[in-house]
Amino acid sequence: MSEPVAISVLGWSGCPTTGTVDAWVRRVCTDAGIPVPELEVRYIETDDDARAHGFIGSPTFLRDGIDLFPEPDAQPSLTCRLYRLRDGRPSPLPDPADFTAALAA
Amino acid sequence: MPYAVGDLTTSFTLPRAGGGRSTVETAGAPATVLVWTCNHCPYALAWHDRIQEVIRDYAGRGVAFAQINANDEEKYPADSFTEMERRVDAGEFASDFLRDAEQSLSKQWGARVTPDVFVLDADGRIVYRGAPDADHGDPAQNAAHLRDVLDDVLAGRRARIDGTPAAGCKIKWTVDDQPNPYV
Repeated sequence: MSEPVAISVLGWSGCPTTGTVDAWVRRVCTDAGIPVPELEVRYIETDDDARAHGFIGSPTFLRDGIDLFPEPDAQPSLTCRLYRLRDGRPSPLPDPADFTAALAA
Repeated sequence: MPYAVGDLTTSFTLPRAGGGRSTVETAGAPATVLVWTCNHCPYALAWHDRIQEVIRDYAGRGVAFAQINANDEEKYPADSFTEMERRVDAGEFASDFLRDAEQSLSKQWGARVTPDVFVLDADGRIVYRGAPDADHGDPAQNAAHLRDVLDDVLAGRRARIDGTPAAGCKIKWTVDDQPNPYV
């Protein structure tokens, strides 16, 4: 089994997802049988901070500063991030299979 | 003070995507449902189809519906009136989709997040406010809270549930003087 990776999470307090990210990541990784990454959550609370960090919504997952789900055309803003599940449904979190695949990449 | 469950409400008029203005008479219909929603929030989008199904299922029973977007369109262009009209033109809404650009009405109602569902009885009294159901991620929930409350109101019963904690994206206020429901 590979070593756990370190993931930074950019979050916004106006989004309910932010407080659930840790448990969600733990569950998704446990279900997939992969090491749970070390998470560091950083809150983005101002428009200036959002622009400075290229923050396009909560939660944003970064590894070595690189967005696991890049959206180069998205504008920085304080909001909940819109992901798409593999069946096309909108979701405030990535599809678990996409998340574990991104960790493995 | 913003409205709370149990308060009597007053009617209002807002611009309607698709043209003109629409007056929401909060009393008179057997029940009235107002949904604060928007175009960009994943929670609003995840619950959107379930809410439209409720509108289609209950409109024939005299229930009045309106959906309202109050988000700041300068910082969140996806929530502009133009984008509202695009979605209405695409047939994505089963009721009027109204714009509260000034946000004063939304603050008066105490709207917090998208989606935020308010159910009113025939007198215009708020009997429920909160999420459509218990899980945005589970379509099988089928907006059960909203349906249960509507069934109660239409049957003349006290609503079995009067609300839920906020479950959606904080409304994007132009002047953010509103409490954060998650802090």
